Amino acid sequence: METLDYLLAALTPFNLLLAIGGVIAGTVIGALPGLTATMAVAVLVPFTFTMEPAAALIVLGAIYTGAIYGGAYAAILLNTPGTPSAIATTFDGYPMARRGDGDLALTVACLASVIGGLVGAGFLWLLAPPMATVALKFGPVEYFWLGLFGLTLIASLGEGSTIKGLIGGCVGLLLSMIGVAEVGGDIRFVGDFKPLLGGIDVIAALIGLYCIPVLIDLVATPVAHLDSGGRISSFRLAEAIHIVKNAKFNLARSSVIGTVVGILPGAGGSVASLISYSEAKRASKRRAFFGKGEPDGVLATESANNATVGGGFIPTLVLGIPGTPPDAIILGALMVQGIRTGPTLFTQQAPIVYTFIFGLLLATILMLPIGLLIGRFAFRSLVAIPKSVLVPSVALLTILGSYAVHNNIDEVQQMVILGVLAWCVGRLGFSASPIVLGLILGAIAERGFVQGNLIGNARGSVMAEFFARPISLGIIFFIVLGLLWPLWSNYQARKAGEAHD
Amino acid sequence: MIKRAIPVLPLFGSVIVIGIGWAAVAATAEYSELGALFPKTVGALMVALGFVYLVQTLMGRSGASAPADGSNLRRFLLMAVMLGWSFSLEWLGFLPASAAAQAALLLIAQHVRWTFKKALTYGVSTAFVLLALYALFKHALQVPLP
Amino acid sequence: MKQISKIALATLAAVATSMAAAADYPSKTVNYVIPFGPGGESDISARLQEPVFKKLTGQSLAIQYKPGAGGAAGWSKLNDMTADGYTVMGTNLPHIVLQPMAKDVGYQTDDVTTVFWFHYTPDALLVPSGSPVKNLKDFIAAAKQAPGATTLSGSGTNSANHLAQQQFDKLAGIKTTYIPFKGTGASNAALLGNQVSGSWGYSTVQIKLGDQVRCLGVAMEQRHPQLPNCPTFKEQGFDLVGGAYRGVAVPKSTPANIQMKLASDLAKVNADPEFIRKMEAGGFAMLNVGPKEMPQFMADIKARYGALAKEMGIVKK
Repeated sequence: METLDYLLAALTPFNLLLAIGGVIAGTVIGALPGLTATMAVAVLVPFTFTMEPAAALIVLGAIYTGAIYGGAYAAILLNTPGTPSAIATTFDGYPMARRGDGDLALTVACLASVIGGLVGAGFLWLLAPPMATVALKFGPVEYFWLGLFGLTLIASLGEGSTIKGLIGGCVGLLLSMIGVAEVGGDIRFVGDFKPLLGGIDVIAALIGLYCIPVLIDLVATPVAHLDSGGRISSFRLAEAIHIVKNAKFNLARSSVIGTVVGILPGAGGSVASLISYSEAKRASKRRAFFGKGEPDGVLATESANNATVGGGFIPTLVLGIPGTPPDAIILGALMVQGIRTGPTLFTQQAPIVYTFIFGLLLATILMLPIGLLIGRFAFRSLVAIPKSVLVPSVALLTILGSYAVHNNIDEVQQMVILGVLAWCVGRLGFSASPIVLGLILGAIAERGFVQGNLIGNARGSVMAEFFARPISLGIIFFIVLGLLWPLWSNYQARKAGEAHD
Repeated sequence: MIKRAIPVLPLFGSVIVIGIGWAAVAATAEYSELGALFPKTVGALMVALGFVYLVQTLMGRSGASAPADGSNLRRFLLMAVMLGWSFSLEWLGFLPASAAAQAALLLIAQHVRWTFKKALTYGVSTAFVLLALYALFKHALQVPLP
Repeated sequence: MKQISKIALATLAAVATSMAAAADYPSKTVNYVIPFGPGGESDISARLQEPVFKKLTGQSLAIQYKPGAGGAAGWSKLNDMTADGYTVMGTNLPHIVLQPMAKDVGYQTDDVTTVFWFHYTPDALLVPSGSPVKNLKDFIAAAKQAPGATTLSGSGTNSANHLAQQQFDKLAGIKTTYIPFKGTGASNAALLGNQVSGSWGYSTVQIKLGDQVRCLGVAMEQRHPQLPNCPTFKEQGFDLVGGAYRGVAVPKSTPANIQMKLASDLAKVNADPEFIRKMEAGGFAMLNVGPKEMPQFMADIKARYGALAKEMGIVKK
């Protein structure tokens, strides 16, 4: 049977080595704030030119999935997402770390990432062509509604007040508009200040808004950053497995959400983990604990973001359209190798594709032991480092990370300035996530809005364009649900309270 | 009814929010129709939200946290160092600027008294981290540092 | 006498060292900055150059991305970069001519010193293969029937795609609506998903998407070797030849002999038969414009785009 052949091809020692190496490299790079999965893949692409296409794909895929997983480390231990897809992991990951459950959080993140990655790769294996057609049905208008959906989720997220969350989101939106407008070409909010021409970089904002306030507060007191609770850290594997077993539905739903969002070109892990987090919170009986260190939150986000890896490959391989930025690089690498993507890839070049898919599955499985080991090492070292060395080191990482994105000093300065401002408004009760999410989603939403407008105008009716498409209506339904739900559950809670009187 | 003092900072904050929103709307006068739509909407939204925030603050529900505990001086120093670091990278070059900043941060973050041994180990380990990361970025990742 | 011989000696030494420097160049990795995100045509063509460059010179090209403002973020910083020849940047036409014309983007066209233009991607008008429009005549007829209703996706505003749409609309006497997308990937997705009626892309897109799209016309003098079924606009009666040109630039103050050496190295890369084969297989059209031809080429291009821009109303007040 051919499938067996491909499986065996994926298991050759060389490919195995590539998978292991890729996962390790990816995890380490993803863990460093500022180094994204995109960067990790971009750096290592030149080395793949001398390899066979299948092998090249395996190592790039392994790096990609390792990097997405690695982003959880900094998110949990430093409250700084290592990659944008780990933003939602900070919501519960960091509180868990602060109360001494950091090692549990890391293990849960590892398990979730592996499961999510397997689901995504599974979809890639079995359902790629049909899912690709689904991706194509998402037009500009759908992206607008999706972006809007993400923005409304911001309001329901925060432990802080909804108003502050919304204000933060608006700030993020305004920040996203700085620079040259994609559609129309206006230069907005720049004035004569040239460094802002390129806009606010998402990664620089990410690092600054999350990490700098942590550093600022770290130096103020002699209290240790993270407490290992006096107990020797272990994997806490049994505990973690128990949590996973009880959260089967959460995992399944989050992984599917991650895969589907990954299929949509332009929406990435950050959107996926945001949506799955919000859904997990909505569906959970323990929703009051979300945001305070609830493992189910970490499960939801980490499985969703790793599922986007497999999902993202679907449009990449089937349509030749990259699902996420690392996919764009991988696509370029394939072109250089002379591989033509498209529907024929699965039929004419089946050996390459299926060997790769099995390699990806393999790399994902390998992430479990590798991830746990690296995680334990990371946790132990971080807890052991005295604060006075930790602060300069992390600060160095922030500088390097924000610089390395585009080799641009302006972005380092953006990072610091935003960070200081973030601390100031943090004292007032504003948190970083709505701002960053506004920044990311603002671009998506505005693009979709303007394009939808243009198309609607050309077709005769803007309103019909925005409101008469089936998928759009589906998303609008969720938006309305999302806005009304808190009111509904408040009402329910109050009724229950009254019943007790 | 106990009269609570209206906290000043959130008051400022809400006014600033309103101000930003209004400025955003004003700035859109120059933009093309499509380019102005989003900023105008968001700006207007901010103004509205800013007012709600203002009202909340006046009613005493501003939700600001208690004054920060710990040393504000150190906080301020850290901010100064970080700002100085980011702006001096081009002038001084990566290694000199970073070494200086790291040394400064080491001092700022240290709360317990220094001993010679501690100073040595901490200094060496910080320097080690600096060099290791420098090598990683410059050579392994091919990032051209200033 | 001694004075003159001292000067002569010094000059000789200077010339010798700089020639030696040029001869040594490149002696280490060259940073190749692409002012766009990864995965686009600029990235792919650069990646194809990489192994050939390495084979030729023994040094690697380290590709970095510096996207922003449609390329302006990179070009406005070009002359601030180290001018030793080890930092080079991709350049694109029509971008570097149109952008400064339209508004203040932080650089002027003449600030960008391109040493070599190595290919162009000819404009191509594409429709999904399921579209009822079978050829250019059908397309024009449909557009005439419902002015403005035909939506065409493309990458970016005031880009090559946008220009092509404007030019062709004028040539054919029709009115279509251009929908800008962020990058070719997004534009292609819209095309394949039938979100738009068609797309102004390049020959590279036709090759990439294969049977899923139909090419109504390509802007070349003769049909592309890899696309025998794609008629040119010229043979259908429309004088539309051109597309997006890509080249390599250096900071202005890079020594002249280093610039020449770089140009000649790039020319050698461009002559490599394997490189040519891969580029053409991808849909690119080769081009060789080096320092000698540069002034005339740029003057022609500026004149051509200048006229177009004025007509389109792009030029800033």
